[in-house]
Amino acid sequence: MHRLAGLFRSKSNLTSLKQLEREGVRSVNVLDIGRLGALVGEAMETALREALAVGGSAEFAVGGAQVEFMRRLGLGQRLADHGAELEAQQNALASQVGTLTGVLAQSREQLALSRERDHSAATTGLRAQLDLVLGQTLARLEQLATSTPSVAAEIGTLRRTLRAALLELLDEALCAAAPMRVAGAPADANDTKLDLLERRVRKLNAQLLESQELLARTRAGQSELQGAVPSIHRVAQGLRSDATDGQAKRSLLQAIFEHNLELRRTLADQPDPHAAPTGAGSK
Amino acid sequence: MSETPSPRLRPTNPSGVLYMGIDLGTSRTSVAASNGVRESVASYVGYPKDVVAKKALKKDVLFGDEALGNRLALDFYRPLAGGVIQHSDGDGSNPDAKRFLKATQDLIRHAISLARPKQDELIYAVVGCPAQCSLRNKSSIVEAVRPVVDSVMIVSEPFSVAYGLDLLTDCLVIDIGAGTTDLCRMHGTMPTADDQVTTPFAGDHVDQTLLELLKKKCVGAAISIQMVKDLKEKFSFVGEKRDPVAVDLPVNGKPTRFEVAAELREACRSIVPSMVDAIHQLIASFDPDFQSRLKNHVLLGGGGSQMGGLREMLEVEMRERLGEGRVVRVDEPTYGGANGALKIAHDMPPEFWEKVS
Ligand SMILES: Nc1ncnc2c1ncn2[C@@H]1O[C@H](COP(=O)(O)OP(=O)(O)OP(=O)(O)O)[C@@H](O)[C@H]1O
Ligand SMILES: [Mg+2]
Repeated sequence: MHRLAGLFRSKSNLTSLKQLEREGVRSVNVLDIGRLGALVGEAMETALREALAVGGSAEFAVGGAQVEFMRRLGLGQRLADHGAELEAQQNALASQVGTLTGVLAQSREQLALSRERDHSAATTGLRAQLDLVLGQTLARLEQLATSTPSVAAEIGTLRRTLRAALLELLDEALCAAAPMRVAGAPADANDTKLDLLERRVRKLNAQLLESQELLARTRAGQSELQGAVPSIHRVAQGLRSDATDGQAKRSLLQAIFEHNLELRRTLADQPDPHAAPTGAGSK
Repeated sequence: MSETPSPRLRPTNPSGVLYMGIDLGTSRTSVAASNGVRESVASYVGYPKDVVAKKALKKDVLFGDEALGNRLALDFYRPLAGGVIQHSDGDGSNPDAKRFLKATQDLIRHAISLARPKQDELIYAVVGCPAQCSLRNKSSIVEAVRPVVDSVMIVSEPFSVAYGLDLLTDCLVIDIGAGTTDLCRMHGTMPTADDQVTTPFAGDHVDQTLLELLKKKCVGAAISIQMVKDLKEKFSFVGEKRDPVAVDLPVNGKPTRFEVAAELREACRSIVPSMVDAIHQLIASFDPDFQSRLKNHVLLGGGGSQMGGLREMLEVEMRERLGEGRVVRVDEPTYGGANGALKIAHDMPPEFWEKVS
C-alpha cells in the first residue's frame, strides 16, 4: 500500500485556482481520494480473484493489483517502467533457476554414484560372509554323508543353487532398503541437501511463472493504453461518388479484387507443397 | 488452407478496421497503417545458430539491422532476391525453399506487428510485391499474411506507387529497388504484362559492380559488400560534375585513403542504359496519341532513385532518343509503395474485403 500512496503523490501537484485560470483552464476533472480508494479496491478485488483462481501467491496478488491499478488510472509510463523491472527480475530468476537446476542435477548424480559404491561394497562383504556360512554348513553335511557317495555329489549341486538363490534375495533386500533410507527419519546429510535444493528450484520456478504472467499483464495494459494505435478511419476512404475519377478507380479496385479471388482459387485448387507456417513469428 | 486458424481474437463487435499497406522489398520491408504508424525494417531475418547464441541474444528470431549486426551468430537470411522469395519456384520440396519461405513469413509478421494494431481491430492489408512475382510466390505471401490479418490482397508494387500518387492515367512509373528495377505504364485500367518491364539492373547490381571496380582500384584493401553499399548510399551520383569521394579502407589492418568518385559514378551509371531501353520500349509501343503525355509523366521511385543526378540524366537521354521527356522523383522513396498500398486498402469497398477474407 505504501507504493500506491507514493503513486498518488507522484501524480498530484499543488496548484491554485487562480493559477489554473491564468493558464486558461475553465473546468477541471476532480478525482477525489474516495474515488481513488474505490479504484484501489476494485483493482485489488480483480487481482485477488485472479490470484485465487490460479492458486497464486500473496506476492502475485499484490503484483497483479499494482498492474491493474496502473491500467485503470492510465499510467502508461508507470506500466512501462514496471514492465522493465519485471523483466529484469525475471532474467535474474531465470538465471538463478538455471544455476540451481545444474547444481541439483550434479548433486543427484554424485549421490547416485556414492550409493552405488556403498551398495557394491556392502554386497561384497555380505557375499564373503555368505560363502563362509554356506561353506561351513555344507562341510558339515559332507562329513555326515561320506558313507553315501551319491549324496556327496548332490550336495555340490545344492551348494550352487542355494548360493544363487540366497544372493538374489540379498540383493533385493538391499535395493528395497535404499529408498527407505531416503524416506526414513534419520536421512543423511546428502538427502537433506537434495531435498532443500529441489524445494528451492520448485519455488523459484513458481515465482518465475508468476512474474511471467504479471509481465504479460503489464504489457497488455501498456499496449491497451499507449502501445497499440487505433485506426483513424472507421470506414473506407476515397470512394466519394463525386470524386472525378471515382468510376475509374472503382473498376481498378474491382480488377485487383478479382485478381486476388483468382489467386485464392489457385491456392485452394493446388494444395501448396509448402508446410504450413509455424510459430516463431513476432506476434 | 481454407480453415486458417486465426490467433487474433475476432471481435464480436468490431470497433474499427486498421488498414495496412505493406511493401515487401528485397532490401527493405515497409508498412504504412491507417493509425498513422509508418515503419520500415531491412529485409533480413536471422535465427540463433545454437543454444549459446540463443541465450546470448535472448531471442528466437532477429530482424533488420539487428539481425545483420549479429549475423555471425545466426542462420542468416535475406529471404527475397531479384524481387521474389528465394528458391520459391521449385516444387517446394527443396529444404531451402521451406526455410526461405518461413523467413519471409516471419518477416511479414514482424512488419505487421510494427504497426501496433489494437487487439480488437480488424486488419485489412494490401501487400505490394514485385511486378514479376509468380503465382506461387504470391500464394506464399498470402499464406504468410493470412494467419495474422483478417483479410489480405496482393498488388504489383509499381502499380501501388502510382496509385498512391493518384497517377492512374498516362504515366510511367520506374521503381528502382535493390533486386530489380520495375517499370510500369499506367493507362487508367489494370496494367497487364505488356505494360510492365522488369530488369535485374538495380541497387544490388550497382553494389556488385562497385565492389569489383574497387577491388581493382584499391589493391590490398579488405572490402565487403556491406561497406560498398554504405558507401553508395552516402555518395551515389551519376552526373558529370563530381566532388571527390575519399574513403578509408583497411590495407593490412591500416586505414588507407582512396579516391573513388570515378568508380562510384561508373557503378551507378551501370544501371542507366537498360533503364532507358525499357522506357523507350514502353513508350514506343504505347498508343501514339498518348505517347507525348507518357513521356512527360515519368515517375522515379524506390531507394535507387536517390542517386544524385539520375533524374536529369534520364531527361537528357529521353530527349536524345525520344525527343522529349520530363521526370519527377517521388518525395518518399522508402514509403512510396507502402503508402500506395495503404491507399488501395482504404479505397477497397468493404464487401470486397469480406469476400477474400
Ligand atoms: N541514397 C541512395 N543512393 C543510391 N541508392 C540507394 C540510396 N539509398 C538506398 N539505396 C538503394 O536502394 C535500394 C533499396 O531500395 P528499395 O527500398 O526501394 O528496394 P526494395 O523495395 O527493398 O527492393 P525491390 O523493389 O527490388 O524488392 C538498395 O539497393 C539501396 O542500397
Ligand atoms: Mg521495392
